[in-house]
Amino acid sequence: MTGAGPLRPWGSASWLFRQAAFRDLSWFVIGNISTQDRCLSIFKHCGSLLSLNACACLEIVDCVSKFTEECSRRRDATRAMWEHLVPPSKRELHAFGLTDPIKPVQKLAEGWMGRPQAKNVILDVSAMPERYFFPLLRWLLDSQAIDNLIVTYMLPEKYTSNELAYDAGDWAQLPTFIGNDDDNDGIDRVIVGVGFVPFSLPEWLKKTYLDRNRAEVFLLFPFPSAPANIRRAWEFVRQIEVSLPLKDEDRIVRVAANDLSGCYDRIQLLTKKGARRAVFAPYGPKPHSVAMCLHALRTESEVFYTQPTHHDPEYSTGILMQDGLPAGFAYAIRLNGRNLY
Amino acid sequence: MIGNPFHDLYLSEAIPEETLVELFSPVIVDYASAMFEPGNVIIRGLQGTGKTMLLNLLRPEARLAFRQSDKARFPVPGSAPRFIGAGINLRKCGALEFVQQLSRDIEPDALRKLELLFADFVNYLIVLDLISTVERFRQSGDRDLLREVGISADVNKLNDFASLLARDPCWFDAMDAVTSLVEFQRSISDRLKSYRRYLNLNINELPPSITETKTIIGDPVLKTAEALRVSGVLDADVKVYIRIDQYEQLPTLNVMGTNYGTRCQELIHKALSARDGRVSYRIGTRTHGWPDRPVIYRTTDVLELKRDFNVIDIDEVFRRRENVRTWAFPNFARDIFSRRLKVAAKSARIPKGDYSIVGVLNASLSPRERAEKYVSTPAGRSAIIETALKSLGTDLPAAWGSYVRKMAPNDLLSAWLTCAWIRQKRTTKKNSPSLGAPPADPIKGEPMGLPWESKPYWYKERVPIGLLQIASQNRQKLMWSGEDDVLSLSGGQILVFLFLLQHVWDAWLRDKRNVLDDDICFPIEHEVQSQGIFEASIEWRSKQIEGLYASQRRTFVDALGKHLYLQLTNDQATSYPGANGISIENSELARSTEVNEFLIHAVGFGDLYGSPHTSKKKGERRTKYYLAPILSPYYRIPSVHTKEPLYIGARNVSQWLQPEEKGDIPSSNPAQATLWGDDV
Repeated sequence: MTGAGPLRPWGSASWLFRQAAFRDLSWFVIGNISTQDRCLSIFKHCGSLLSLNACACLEIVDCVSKFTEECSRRRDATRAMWEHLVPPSKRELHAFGLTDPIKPVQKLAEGWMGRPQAKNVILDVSAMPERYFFPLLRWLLDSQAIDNLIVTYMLPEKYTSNELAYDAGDWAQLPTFIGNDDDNDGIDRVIVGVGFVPFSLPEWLKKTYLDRNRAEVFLLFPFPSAPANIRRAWEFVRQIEVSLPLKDEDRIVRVAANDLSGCYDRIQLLTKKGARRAVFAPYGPKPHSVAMCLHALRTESEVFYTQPTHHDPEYSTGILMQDGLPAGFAYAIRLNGRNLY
Repeated sequence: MIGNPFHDLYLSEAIPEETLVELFSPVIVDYASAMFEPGNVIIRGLQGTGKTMLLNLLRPEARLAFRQSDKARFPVPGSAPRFIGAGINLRKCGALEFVQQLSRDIEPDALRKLELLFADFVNYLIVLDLISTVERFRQSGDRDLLREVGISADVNKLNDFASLLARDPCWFDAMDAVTSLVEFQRSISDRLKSYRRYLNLNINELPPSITETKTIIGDPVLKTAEALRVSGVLDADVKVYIRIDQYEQLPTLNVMGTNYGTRCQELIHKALSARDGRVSYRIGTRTHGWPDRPVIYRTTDVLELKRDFNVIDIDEVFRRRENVRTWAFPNFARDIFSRRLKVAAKSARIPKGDYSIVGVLNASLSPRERAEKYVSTPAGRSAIIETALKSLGTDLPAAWGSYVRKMAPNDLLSAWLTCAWIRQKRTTKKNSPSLGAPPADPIKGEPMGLPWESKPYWYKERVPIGLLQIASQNRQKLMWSGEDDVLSLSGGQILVFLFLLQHVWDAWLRDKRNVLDDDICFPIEHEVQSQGIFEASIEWRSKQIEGLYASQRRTFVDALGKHLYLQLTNDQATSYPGANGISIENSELARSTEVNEFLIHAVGFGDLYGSPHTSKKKGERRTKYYLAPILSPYYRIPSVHTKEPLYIGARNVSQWLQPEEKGDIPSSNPAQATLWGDDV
C-alpha cells in the first residue's frame, strides 16, 4: 500500500507461533482476567505452541452496575481456570477498576520490563479495554529491553446481541494519549474506527474539531466482515452521517477487520505518513484499534474515546477452536529488536 | 434537488465563516447581557441549549468572522464589544489527566502538590491563550477592529509587556530570563510541554524548575491583564474575560478515595473569589454542575451569588412559563429557523414562500381537528362513543345518552369528555352537585351547549388527556405538527428544535421523492410532520445512552413513560389530567439520597425536567418532574404540563429503577457468532 516496508508477520495465532522466528522463544504474556472466556485462549496455547516464561494478568473490574454480581461470578470462573492453566510460580495477578488512574499500571509494567523473562512479550488485547492496552503498548514499545513483541487477538464462540457496553462517558483522551498543545487548529484528520455504537461520538466530533476547523473525518470500515455485522457497522455510519454529513464516499475506508497491517498502511496514506495531523477514535475491531495506537505513538497523536463504565457480562462467550486450539490472530510488532510499524 | 437546511445540527465544517455569521442568532445575546459585563458569570445549561454558542462569542475567531462579513454585525450591544476573551476547555486541555497520578496510598502532601500543579497548569494555559488572543487580533491587520476592541498595534508595546510581566513576583522567578514576547511564549510553551510529558506518564516527576515555581491560581492571569494595560497593549477600559468550559467534569476526578476533583473546583472558586475588576471569569457548566456551596480552596468561605458571581441559566431563560407571553424560546427558535432557510435557499432548492415556522409547518391543529384525524369518519366516532357510553352503565339517564350521541359525529372530543364529565359527577363525593340534566337542545344554527360551560378550565385542562384517550381507543399514534407542537417538544433546547426539524424535513423529502421540485410547496402536511417528529423522538431516546447512570436512566424513563401512559389512558373520568408528570415531597427526597441524586442526574442529562412544585397541601414543599418533551411522542403522552402531577413517593422511583422482567418476550436472536467476521 505504501510501497516497500518491513515485512510484518501476522496471521492466525497458531500459524505465527509456529514460525521459525518465534517457535523456540519463551514468552512473557500480559493479559487480563475478564468475564470473557477468550481471555484464557492465549494460555491454552502454552505448552503446545508457546513456551511460557511467566505471565502477568490484570483483573479489570467494571464500575458498579446491575451486572456486577454476574460479572464477578464470571471473573471468578475465568480466574480459577487461569490458575489451573498457569503454575503459581509463573503467574501474577493485579486488580484494577476500569476507570482507575493508570500510573500504578505503569509502575507494574516498568517492573515487568526490567525482568530477564520479559525479553519476548505477548500482549493479549482480546478482552482488554482500550483504556489499558493503549498505554501498555506505549510502554512496551518504549522499552529497549524487549526483543520481540507480539499482540494477540483471540476469538470467542459468540457475542451477545444485547448492547455490548453501557454508560459511556464524555469524549476524552485515552490515558497517556493527550496531545502536545491545547489547539485543534492544526488537526487535519479525524480517523474513526467504525464499531457498533458510536455513543455521542458525532456530537463530540463536531463540537471539538469541526466548529472552527476544517478537519476531515474518515471512517475505517471493517470489511470484509460477517453480513450481520456489516449491518451494525452501517448503522454506526448512519448515526455519524445524521449529524455529520460525510463529504464523499472516499471518507469511508474499507479495511478487513483483522488486517492490522493493512489498517496501519491505510492510516499512513490518510495522514501522508503523519504529515497531516490526525486524532483517532478507536470504536472498531481491536486490530484496527492497535493500528491506530501504533500510528498515534509514532506521531504523538491524540486518541479519544467515550469510555463506557460497564459491559454486558456476556459480551462474548466461549472460545472459538480451530484444529483443537483456540483460534485468533497474532501480529508481530517488534522482531529481533526492530519495530515493524 | 431540495436539500435539508437542518442536516447540520451544529454550525460546523460544511459552513463557511461568512455563512456562519448569517446563521448565528443574536436573540440569545439579549438574554445573556451579563456575559458582556464585568463580574464573574456561571453559564449553565443542558447540552444543546446554546451555551457553547454564547461562550464562543468571546473567542477572537468569532469576532474576526463577524468583522469579515458584510451580512451581520457582531451581536454584542453598545460599548460591550471592548473586550478580549481567552480560556480553556478543561477536558480538551488535558488538565483532567492529573488524575492518572492518583493512587489509593497517595500521601496528603503528594495529593496537595497535585492540586497545586493543576492550578499552575491552568494558569499557564490561560496566560498563553490570552497572549495568543491579542496576537490574533493584531495579526488580522484590521486597524478599525483593533481600535474598536482597544488593542495597540505597536509591537514594541508587546515586548514591553512581556518584560514587565516576566518581572512580576507571581512567577516565583520562573520568567527571570525573559526579555521579549517571543521568549515569554516559548517559556510558557516549554513548561506546558513538560506538563504534557508528565501527564502522558513519559516522565515520572516534573523538574524542580516547575515544582519550585508553582503559581497561585488566577494570580498570573490577573497580572497578565494588568501588564497588558500598563504597557499600553490594551486600553485601560478593555475588559478581559476568561472562559473555563466543562467545569462539570471536575468531580469525575474524585477517585481512589480522594476529593481531588472537588479540590480542583475549589481552586477555580479561589480564582473567582479575587473579585478583581481586571479579569472576569466565564464558567461553562452543565445543569447542576455548579455546587450549591462553592467553597474556596483551603478555606471554609464560600462564593456568594450576586457578590462573587452571577448565573445565566440558559435552561431557565428558555423554559416555558405559565404566561406564554414571557416565554423567550419561540423568538429564538423562529429567528434561527428563518435564518437557516434563507441561507439554504441561496444554494439549495428550497420552495419559495414565507420562511417562518408557521409558513413552513403551519399552525398546530386545533384539538377538534386532531380528534377528527384520530377517528376520521362520523361512523367511527359514533362507534367509539357507543363503547364509552356502554362503560357508563345501563343506569345512565337516557337524556345524557342521547345528548352525547348527538354530539359525537361532529365533535368527538367534546362527546368523549362529556362521558368523562358524567363519570366524575356520578362518582364524586356525596355533597358535590349531582349530574343533573344535560344542556338543552340548542336553537337552530347555534352550537350545542356544553356541560362545563361555567367551568372552561375543566375542559381546557382535559383536552390533552381526552385526545390521548381517543387516539388510544382507535389505536392511533398521537399527532404532532405545526409551530406550537414543535416549540413545545423542543423544551427550550435549540439542539432539540433543530433535531426535530431535521427529521421532519427528511420525512417530507421522502414523501416528495416522486414529485418534481417545482411542484413542491409549503406548508408541509401535518401527517408528514407527525411522522418525522415520531422518528425524531425514537432517535432521541436511542441517543440517551451516555453519562453517569445512563442505563439506569433509560430503565427509569422507560418505566415512567409506560406508567404515565397507562395512568392517563386508564383514567376514564379524567380525574388526573396532569398525570404526565410526577411530584415528590422534598423531605422525602432529602431522606432518600440515592433517589435524589439519581433524579438530579436525570435532570442534568436532560432526561427529565424538574422544578419546584406548589403542593396542594399547605406548607408542603415538593419537586415535580416531567419527561423531556421530545420523548412524549415515543411514550405517547402529552407534552403540555397541566394541573397537578401524580403525587408519588421515592419508593416508586426506586421501583422504576429496577429493570423490568423480560417475561415471555422471546429473543429471536439471543447470540451471534461473530462480531467482525473473524472466523479463521
